[in-house]
Amino acid sequence: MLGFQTTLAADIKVVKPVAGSLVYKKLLNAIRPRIEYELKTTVRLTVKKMNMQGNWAYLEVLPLQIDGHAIDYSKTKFKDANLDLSDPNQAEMLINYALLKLVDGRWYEVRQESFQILANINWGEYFPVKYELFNYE
Amino acid sequence: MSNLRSMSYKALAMRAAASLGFLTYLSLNANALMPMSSPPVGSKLRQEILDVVRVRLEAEAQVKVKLVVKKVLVFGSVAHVCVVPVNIDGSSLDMKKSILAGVYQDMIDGEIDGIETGLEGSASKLVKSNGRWFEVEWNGGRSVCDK
Repeated sequence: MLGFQTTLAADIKVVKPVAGSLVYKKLLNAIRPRIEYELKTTVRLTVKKMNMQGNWAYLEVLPLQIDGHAIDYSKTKFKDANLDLSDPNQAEMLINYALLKLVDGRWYEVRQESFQILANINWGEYFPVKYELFNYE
Repeated sequence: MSNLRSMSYKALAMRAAASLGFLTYLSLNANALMPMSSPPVGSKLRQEILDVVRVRLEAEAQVKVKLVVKKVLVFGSVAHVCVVPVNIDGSSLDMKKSILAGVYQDMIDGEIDGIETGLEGSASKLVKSNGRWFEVEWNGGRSVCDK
């Protein structure tokens, strides 16, 4: 099974869904309920990165309030994080990272991280996808 | 009606405010007041909920899995699920074939003390949004279904 998937992954190109396309919306809607649950508010998702390879997709999104203002994390479970947002490395921790899989026409979140630095997210080592899916430099 | 006539406007206003407050409480706590139920085996609801968990666990296991269900409880638009994934033939999953193979090897090599993974047991919270169930929290480990 793993060998099959690895072969498949090597043959499929990594693409970026067009902003506003159906797949773009479906991917965002697949992670939105979890983020809204965690942040206890409806959110607007600003896409930092969205890559797709066959039935896998990788997203980096910054959640904002519907009016575009920053989320008030003091009302969430992350209230004790005490981030210094003037530090780019800490500001990066507000980004939600998600790995999704398409099964029977639906996208499912199979891995997610928030309040984490990107360097600690090494899904490419484990899942049968190309490293390019994550756009590692 | 005569009672209402004899009440002062202030009393009526207070009653109306109390009713409104109670209705607001009901709407905000709808899930808490919903009866808890366990969807019957084979029901569409149970299938929909378990399929969400199954996709994540199959992605981790790298094989098709069968879920040994320890708990599926639904409260309105919230569900709590506890499952142990096994191979389709009922045998235990081989962690060495999963995405966690590297971590598992580290444990065997003594580099880490132990690991808690969804492949040993998975407890999840799901919410229903726009007619679809989403996993919003999950924990893995051998004992997560004991809690």
